Amino acid sequence: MVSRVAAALVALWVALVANRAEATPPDTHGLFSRSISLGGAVTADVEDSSANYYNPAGLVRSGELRLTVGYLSVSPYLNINDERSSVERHGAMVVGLVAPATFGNARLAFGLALHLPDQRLARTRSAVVTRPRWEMYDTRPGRIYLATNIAVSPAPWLTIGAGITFQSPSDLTLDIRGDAHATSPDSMSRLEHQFAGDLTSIRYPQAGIQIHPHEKFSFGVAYRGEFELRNRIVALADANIIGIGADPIPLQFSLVSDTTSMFGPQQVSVGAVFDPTSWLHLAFELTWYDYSKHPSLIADQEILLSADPPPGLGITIPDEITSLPPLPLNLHDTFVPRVGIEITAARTEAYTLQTRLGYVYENSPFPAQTGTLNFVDNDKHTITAGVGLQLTDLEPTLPGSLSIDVHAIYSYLPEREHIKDSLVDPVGDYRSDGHLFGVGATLEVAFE
Amino acid sequence: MMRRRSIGLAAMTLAFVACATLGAETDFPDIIQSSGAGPFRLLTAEETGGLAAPNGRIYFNRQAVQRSMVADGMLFYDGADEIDEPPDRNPDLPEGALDFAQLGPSRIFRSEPRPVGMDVLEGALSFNGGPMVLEASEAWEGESVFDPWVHVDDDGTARLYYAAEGGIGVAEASSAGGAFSKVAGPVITDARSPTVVRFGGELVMLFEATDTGTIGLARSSDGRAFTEDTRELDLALAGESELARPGAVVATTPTGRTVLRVYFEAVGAEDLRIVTLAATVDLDSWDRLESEIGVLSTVEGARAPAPLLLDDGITALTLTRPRESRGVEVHAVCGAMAPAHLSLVDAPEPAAEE
Repeated sequence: MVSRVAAALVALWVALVANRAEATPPDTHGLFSRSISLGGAVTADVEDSSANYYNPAGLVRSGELRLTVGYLSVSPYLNINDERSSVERHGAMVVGLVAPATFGNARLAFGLALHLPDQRLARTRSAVVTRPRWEMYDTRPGRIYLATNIAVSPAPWLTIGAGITFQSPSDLTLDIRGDAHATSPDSMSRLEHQFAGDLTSIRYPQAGIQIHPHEKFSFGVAYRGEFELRNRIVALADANIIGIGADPIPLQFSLVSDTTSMFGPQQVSVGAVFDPTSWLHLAFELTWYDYSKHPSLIADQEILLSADPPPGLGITIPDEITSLPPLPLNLHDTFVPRVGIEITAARTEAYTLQTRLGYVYENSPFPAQTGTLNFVDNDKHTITAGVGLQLTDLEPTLPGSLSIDVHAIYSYLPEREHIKDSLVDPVGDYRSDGHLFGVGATLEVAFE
Repeated sequence: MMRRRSIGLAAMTLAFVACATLGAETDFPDIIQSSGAGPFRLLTAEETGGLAAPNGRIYFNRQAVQRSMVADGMLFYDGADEIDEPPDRNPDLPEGALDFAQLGPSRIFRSEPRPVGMDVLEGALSFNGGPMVLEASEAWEGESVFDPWVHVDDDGTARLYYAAEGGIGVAEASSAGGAFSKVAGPVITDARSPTVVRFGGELVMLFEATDTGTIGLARSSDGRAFTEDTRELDLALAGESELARPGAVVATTPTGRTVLRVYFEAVGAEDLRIVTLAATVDLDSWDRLESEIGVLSTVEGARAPAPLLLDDGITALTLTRPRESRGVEVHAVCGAMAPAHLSLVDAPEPAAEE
């Protein structure tokens, strides 16, 4: 009965607080070293702080209080026409928490994960359609990821978890008023401006389930919701142009730009793990990404310009200022397979040493950019590797264990050709390819 | 011992985290342009060796020039001297047009050869004057030869295609720097502004068909005898009344497509004349740039575009622009390039034309 109540509480919490669904920086680079080094194939049995992203059901699995801190860095070497593109390194500090509790006879756990980029808290860059941009790596990873979850274990073989993730869209307004001198703007203009920026919050859900019917098997399903971050920029000018003719020329200008700066598709991961021996751990996973619902990244702009210059000045005000319509991106859904292998190389009462390997194949949801748009993305083969050392004989200094995990990733993006439909396209044909190199480390303290 | 190691490892990890949180900034994504569609900008003083900034002059001509082009590091151009005591300019001529009543016969000249794009101190793309290489001598030519275009074939043979009163003629030399001898003409009548490239295993000539007011296409296997495909390529947009002065180049895109690009003048509403672009991969279907401002939006009065393909996707254009000398319109010989954000200084040698 208590278990049912706890499960109902989880469902109710999700229903109340999660009004939208979105995706995150861990989608691109993963979260915490052990999970990354297994290629992210951890949905079926994750139990550390990375469960906050991969499958919140795993939070309740171990029954330990876990504090995790780490760092990851990924350096892109992405090329267009053999020239390295301006895509910056991604580095982030990651912090995680798993806090177990009991509610009657039911085991509960709360979790929190924070991915804090080291270069900026959030990044938004407008899409300039004539500049090819590595859409998945340019701005998407560069923002805070904060997820909170709750999990319950209604039966020894079953864990259920759910939670929400937070993201922040922006609403910016620039308002300019006064007199602008046409020929001596620096010295003769009298302008005042106001700027308002509003970083609001949106939330989206994630949920998961883990089933472990046998000590050698475990299965898991996780759902992460869809999100769309919209940025709104408003620029207003209500000014008089002076210095041309005898009378001031009233000028009104209004720009409203509404754009999707980031979209995360809803996704479902299905995973299984198999431990054929005490030293071998095999993990498989398949994730569906609903990229076909990706909205346009081209800003929907409304530009109004009103002025009434006296005749004879030769100034013509256009009747209408048009901008590029929000062209569809035409993305397609993807299915991403993941494989992970963990080998326990040594196990004593004092420590456990594990090595890990993983592989991920991500087929790009973006089509070749043959038209006006230039959002570049390639298929990606990723090989991951890692080592974990868990120290278990630390009492009385530490009544629990200390785990140190390190990982390295290498991603290969095979060459892709973008052959334009028009031979006089402003950009023209180009090739894209590249590599990603990443390393990271995680320190976790687990209290029994 | 184990505890001390654990604490040490923990301290190392925390230090790793703390030291790594230092930010950096990067630019917006780079500009990529491999289509040659511009927008082009005039060459800077640094790129022309300070010849006449800021108008992009690459050759300080005193004669009236109708067209120039670069082949094998040499500037080929036509030139007509101003006559003694020229009459007043014909007021009915459009602004920027040459008044041939003020000029003597036009002949074709060639500059001294020079590396293109590499020599910073002497200018990346500028030329000194040179000797005359061709003048009118045949009855069909009338008094003038003009609109030179030199094509250097794979065996080094250079053919100088030129315009004259009766159409288009051909002269040959063992190299672009050799002595040219007339070998055929007129190979196309009622035509001027020939531009010849090797494309798809044959020589393709595009020309201004003066009877149709548009651009024609002819083919040849030997560079001397041409067969006209059409005198009216379907390149005009709605509202355009005239297409003129084509200049062609064959480019290979980064994806390996071989594209024939033709830059030309288009006259639209209110007699607005722009330089624009069309391209094809098969000579059957053409893509036309639909920009109302063409490829040279910021270059006023540009005429007679002649492309020169450099490495790294850079396309240079030689142009003429309005310039007066003692009251006589003579046109300045200028250079422009795209992508506009790149610099020709320290750019590589020109790629071999296909």
